Amino acid sequence: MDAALTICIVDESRSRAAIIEDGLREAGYRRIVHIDEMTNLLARLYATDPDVVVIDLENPSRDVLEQLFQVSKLVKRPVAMFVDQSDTRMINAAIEAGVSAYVVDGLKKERVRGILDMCIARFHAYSKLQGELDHAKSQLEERKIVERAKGLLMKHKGISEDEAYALMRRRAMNEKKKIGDIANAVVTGLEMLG
Amino acid sequence: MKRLTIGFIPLTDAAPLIAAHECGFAADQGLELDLVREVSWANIRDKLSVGLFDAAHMLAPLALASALGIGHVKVPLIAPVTLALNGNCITVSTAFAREMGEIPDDPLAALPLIRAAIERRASAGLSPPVFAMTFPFSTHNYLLRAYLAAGGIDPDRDVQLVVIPPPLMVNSLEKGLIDGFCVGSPWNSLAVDRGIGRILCPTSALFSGIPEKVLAIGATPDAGTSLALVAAVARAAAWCADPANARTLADMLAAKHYLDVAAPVVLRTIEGRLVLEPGGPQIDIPDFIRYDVPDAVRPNAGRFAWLYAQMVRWGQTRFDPAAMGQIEALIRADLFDRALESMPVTAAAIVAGDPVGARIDRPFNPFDIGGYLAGFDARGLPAGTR
Repeated sequence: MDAALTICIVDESRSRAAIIEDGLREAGYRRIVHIDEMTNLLARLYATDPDVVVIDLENPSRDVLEQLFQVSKLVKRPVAMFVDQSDTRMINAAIEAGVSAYVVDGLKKERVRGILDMCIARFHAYSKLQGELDHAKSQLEERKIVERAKGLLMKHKGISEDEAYALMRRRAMNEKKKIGDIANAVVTGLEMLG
Repeated sequence: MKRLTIGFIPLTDAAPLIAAHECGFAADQGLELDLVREVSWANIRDKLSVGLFDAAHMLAPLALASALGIGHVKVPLIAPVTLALNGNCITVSTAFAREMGEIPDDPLAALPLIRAAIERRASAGLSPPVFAMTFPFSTHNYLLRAYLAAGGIDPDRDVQLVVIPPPLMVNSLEKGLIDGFCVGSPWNSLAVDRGIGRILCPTSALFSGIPEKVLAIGATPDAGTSLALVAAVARAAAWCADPANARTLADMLAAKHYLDVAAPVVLRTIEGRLVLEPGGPQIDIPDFIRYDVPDAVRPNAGRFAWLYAQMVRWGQTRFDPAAMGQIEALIRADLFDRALESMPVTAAAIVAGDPVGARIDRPFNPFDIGGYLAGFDARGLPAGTR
């Protein structure tokens, strides 16, 4: 661990960057810069002069970083990709997590390994959180649509709430579909009838 | 059915891969292609390198640099099909076009105007124009540099060159972050349609045969699978090259999960009928984008030698006479020929002489790269221009 290292997080997602930054601070790193605006990325990086750059694999600006290798005469400190051929396990882990890292040339691998390990773990944690959030959202959406479908069925068929729900559940089981899909079909169909 | 995961970037020249999947050429070879749209060339390279992709749509110079270990790690790959020749343009913002003045039809005649605009900015104390390309190891980088240098403009001193991913080019031009760019289709035409760009130079006006993208195959597929993939993609390229299929191809590429650009714009880039300035007429551009089999698509060592010579010319690597052997090993033309044995192809005469059809600089002779390079000074400019 080397608190003096400047670490730059290039990420358009503020929440993920915050999760990574927290991890780095917990690990004792003090100089962390977050860039979330991709225009003039190179100029911002030159100004930050980082030792390590962490970037999301889904960020098209990765190609912009590649230019750092080519214009090293303009950069104060040339940057090179951390992951080298000898470390396929690390590359695989990083790609799977969706993160890539670049470090200044000459920085010893052991000094940055911890940083990348931490970022990989945090990227995974973020994806898991995001997944849970998406799941919760879709459950909420489903509940809403089921409620609307129940109301429409009660109105059009003159049945009780329980009967309306039972009707949809039976249909879902028979057709091997989710109740949300059935409710969707009910809403689309009955709303057209008015 | 053998399943292959293949990465691509949304560009017109991904056509042979997309057609291989959509028109059943892959299925005919017992292959099921899983096409994955990617956001960066760096991702394409890295995912191919670690085996997450079996094959990919890749910049020809990036494949060459990866095979030679230039600028990055060495990646085990072969590039047995050239997906397209040419297809790029150099475009400036309409604002920069105004700075240049009356723009002539001949792209070379526009160069003194660019130079004058640069000098006017310099004497007014303004920063030099910013031109974007797509990647350090890209034809866009080399073509833009060759073009500027032919006009005595030093691409490292007189202008600022930056990298911008293709889908972000047009927005960057619109926001005034850059004054011009060199990029593949259909992005130049999109800038013209939005009324913010003026195509100065379809790069086929500079060179008639530059390998643009390749089918890069990584280490995962076995020999038989690679051969089947080459056969499928080469047949698809021949289909793409047939003008009768242009409309179907344009509709196919325009889809949301491929290019996500309006079909009529894509069609113009496939047919090489470009609108150069907002509101202007459509103009036929010879050799604009070529998928013809075998000349365009069969990998040609001489054309790759030109790409290699550019890497040396612009200081990305030092000249190594062993490179020609490495090029042969990369392009595996033998694989292409074996895959095409059963395919009836019109034996187009392989053009003698300059394989890239240079219309600027001197003719390129792949057997005398040293002599070619001697024609440029240490900064890559034609010797004696400064």
